[in-house]
Amino acid sequence: MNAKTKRDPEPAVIVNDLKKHYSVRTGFLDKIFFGNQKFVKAVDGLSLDIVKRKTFGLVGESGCGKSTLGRCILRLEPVTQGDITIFGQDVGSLEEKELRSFRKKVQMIFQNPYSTLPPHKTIGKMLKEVVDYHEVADKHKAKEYSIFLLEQVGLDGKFFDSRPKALSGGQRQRAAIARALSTDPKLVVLDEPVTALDISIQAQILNLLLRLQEEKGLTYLFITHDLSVVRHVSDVIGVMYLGKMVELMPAKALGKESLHPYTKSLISSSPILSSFYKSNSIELTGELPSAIDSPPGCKFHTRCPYSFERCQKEEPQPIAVDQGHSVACFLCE
Amino acid sequence: MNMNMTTTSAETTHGIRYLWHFVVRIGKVTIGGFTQDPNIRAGSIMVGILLIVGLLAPLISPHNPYQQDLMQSLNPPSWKHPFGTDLYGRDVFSRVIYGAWIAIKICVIGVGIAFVAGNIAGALAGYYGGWIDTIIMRIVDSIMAFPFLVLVIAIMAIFGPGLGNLYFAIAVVSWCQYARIARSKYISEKEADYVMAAKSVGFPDKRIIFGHVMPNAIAPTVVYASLDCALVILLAASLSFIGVGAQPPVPEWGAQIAEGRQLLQVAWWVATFPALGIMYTVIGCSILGDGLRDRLVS
Repeated sequence: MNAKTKRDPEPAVIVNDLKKHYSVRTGFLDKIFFGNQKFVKAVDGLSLDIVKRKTFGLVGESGCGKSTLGRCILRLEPVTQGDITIFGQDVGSLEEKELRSFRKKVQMIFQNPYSTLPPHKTIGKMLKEVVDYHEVADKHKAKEYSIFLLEQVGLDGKFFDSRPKALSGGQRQRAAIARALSTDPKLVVLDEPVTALDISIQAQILNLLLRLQEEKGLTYLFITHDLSVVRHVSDVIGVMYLGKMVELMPAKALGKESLHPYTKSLISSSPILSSFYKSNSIELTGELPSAIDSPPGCKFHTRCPYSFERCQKEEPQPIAVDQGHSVACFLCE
Repeated sequence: MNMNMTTTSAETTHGIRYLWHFVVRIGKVTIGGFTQDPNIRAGSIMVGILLIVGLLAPLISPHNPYQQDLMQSLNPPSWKHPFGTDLYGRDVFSRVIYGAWIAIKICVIGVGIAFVAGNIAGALAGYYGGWIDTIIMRIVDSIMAFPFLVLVIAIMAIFGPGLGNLYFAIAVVSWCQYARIARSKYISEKEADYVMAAKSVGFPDKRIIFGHVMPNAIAPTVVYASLDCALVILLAASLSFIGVGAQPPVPEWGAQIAEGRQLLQVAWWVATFPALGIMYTVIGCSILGDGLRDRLVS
């Protein structure tokens, strides 16, 4: 992609041609008669850079591999091919000891605050466990530090002794953010951090995340399917479709200057954005094709209203159309 | 997958601490449920009486359970011997009370070993899956493929009869159920988001299994344990009855029934009172188990 050739002096994250395939369990007869092992290509040759202290917004439908990418970056899943470099460290080759300091530097916030907090622990115990394990603060100061963390995310210190059950969705997500920040990370992967929350709480959490980014100089990978949210918080936006990046653009360009038909269809599916950029939106029909037998050529051609013969045969490569803006579509050549 | 089997004392104490927390939680549930749940109330009263009787056996029993007095052979129940005397003139009441202590020992040791071993095996099998799962579960399957009693009798025949080997034999055959229950719970629990969150924070597997998943996955096995106590007492009694368990003159309930069997027509009290003891214990454990299930597993 364009960003790859003209690298920013200090990218926090470099993902290079990443592939993550899950093997599908096929039946006994399938193996005998058809022989070939099938794979779900969750991420299929994806590259991206994330600049330090900036937010990279990753957008796409459910099932397009966004969350898998996030997990690969944290090394929660082994990678099939390609490499990920975070702050100059190759993530795939980290040793046991390095992994511990890596976990300290890279944290994740999950989608559903109702299930990500351990149900049997109080918020304070949960925070203290992380603080003690990573030796962020002295043992006897762990409690003070935990309360400081809670206050930092806008939670009262009295929640120290509460169990997650006693907290509302927004409060839980704040507690989850406090846990992620307890190790003083540099990079935070946000996997749909506001999707499960009410609209009014969404704004609060987003503003909190932005404030924390400014205060602590955090780098965010913001994974979501909500275009209006991603436009609000991101500096760069990547649009993913079936494991591939189809468009990469500055956040300001989302909307009017989006070029890929898939991006346009996403805009049209967002009630807020589509009213602004009516001319630049298209209706999308049909289901996301299976990632097991993904279509040949351009993966989007089955649903694209502009598709022509070439789309079914060749795979489009990303083309730079503007500064920091690249599109993988034949229409833009 | 990264096994991370290097034991650090911090992690081990962590696991023990959470087990202890869980014991405390069961205690709280029992006490909390005491006023609300009739099953817990009835069950804990019955089991409580059994515990008190068993632990205080030397104080409560009016006679020495081993003391023979052939002049008093087969006396019917009276004020001096509330449950009568057996063929050798021993006081059946005292022997039944001492039998309670043996029943408690069988439950605590036999079920305890099975509970711990089954939970650990099930946790490893369920959490890691793959070849670890295959090996552990095939062992479980092969043990369970044997008829329960036949296997225990075989073990007892190999190691010789006696109470010590009885605990061991019971543990060997009954850990399988715990392993199965724990495994299924771990398989569903390990996909939970809080486990993924614990991984992303960087906790080692050991801490995740014993500190995070176990407190949320242990409840079904605890319930099974309370029901299993009833089964184990019955099993121990059956084994003693057929002569491979506790040996005379040990006042084990099953052994006492075996002794009183031939006398049933002339002295019904010798076999009946130990049998009532077994019945009482089994019912008490089952009711408590039902009550705990309603409150712990929901």
